[in-house]
Amino acid sequence: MVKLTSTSKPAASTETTTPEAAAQRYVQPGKSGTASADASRAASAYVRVGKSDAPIVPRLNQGGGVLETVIGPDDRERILETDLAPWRMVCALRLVGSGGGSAIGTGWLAGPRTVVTAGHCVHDQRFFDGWADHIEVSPGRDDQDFPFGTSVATRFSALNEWVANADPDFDIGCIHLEEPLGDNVGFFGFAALPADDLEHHLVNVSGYPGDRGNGRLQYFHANRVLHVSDRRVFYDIDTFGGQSGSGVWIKETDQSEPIVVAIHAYGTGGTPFNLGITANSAPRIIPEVFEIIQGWVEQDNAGS
Amino acid sequence: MEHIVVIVRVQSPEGTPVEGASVSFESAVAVLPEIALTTGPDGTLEAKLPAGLTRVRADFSGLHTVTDINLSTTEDHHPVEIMLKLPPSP
Repeated sequence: MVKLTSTSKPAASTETTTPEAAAQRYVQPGKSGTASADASRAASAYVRVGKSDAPIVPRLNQGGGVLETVIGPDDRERILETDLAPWRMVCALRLVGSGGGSAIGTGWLAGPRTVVTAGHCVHDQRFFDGWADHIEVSPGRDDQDFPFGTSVATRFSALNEWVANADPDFDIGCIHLEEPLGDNVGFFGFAALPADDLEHHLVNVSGYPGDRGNGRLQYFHANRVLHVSDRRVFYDIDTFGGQSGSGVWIKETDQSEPIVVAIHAYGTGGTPFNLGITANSAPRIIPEVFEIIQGWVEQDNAGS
Repeated sequence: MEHIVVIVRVQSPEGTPVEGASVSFESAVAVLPEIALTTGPDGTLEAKLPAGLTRVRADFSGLHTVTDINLSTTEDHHPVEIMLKLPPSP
């Protein structure tokens, strides 16, 4: 049994999921913000809705082995309309460690002052010797165009199981912003959904990979969920280093808003061999994680 | 799990340091997150990686290079240097 809490930098609870809690849906709605309400043509063309009995792009294990994260042909699409929803709610991150080393990552706005990302983007012994020193957050960045500016953050949190044990199942963190960027930019809804609801769902991932544009360009791909475990969701969506922290989001109908259900963090090397699938993966927003993210948003809204 | 300190050095085809290259890692023996580190002004970065077969890839301006290395502890415990030279533009 694992007890999950939030750990903050330098220092900031919930119970392990019961079967009853795991069978329930916990949904926090998002908001489109006060920025342009123009509809995104890219969203109409690319975003996948609902469930499917078959993958959008049939994939075979093409011999890439464990060292690949683009699975078979690279099907990622560049997003140009990054000033429109939902793309503007996706943030390019520049992570700077205390020793001066830097990295790129992705986050997504979950509230006016709250960006959720992978735990290893805010805390990692291997890359930062612990907590990041500061992180530059650029919603909807497109190369040298920063439609909503850049906010520099120094306050972070992560799940205790990530900070203490680097457990990939709990690789989830948070960036607390000083400015309420989400009021203008908008923010994603998020949800803890039962595994049955996620099975066969079409999921969408948009982020800032290192291999195309060095973390300055937003790329998108979508496909079907291949497998759902108690704490992870697995999918054959093309991703690359730098896309860690991207929201894995669903749309249940054409009219419904995007809802993040997991946080992308691992390439195919993170998928257990015994599953027999070639997939990338993300820790799920399970009910305890949902409560913690809600707590982060409430804490940031209160200005603490 | 044993971790090895590595210094990754990225150079242009002409052998000059490349600042801002994205470097990603995948391990055959351990689960590594999908993060991309970036090189500093001297074209290097430092990380602690698990021992074992590791793929290191550097990307910069549409060019990339990949090397596989079997990381193991050096006798003197010095950092392991990994040199990645980008190919010429096509």
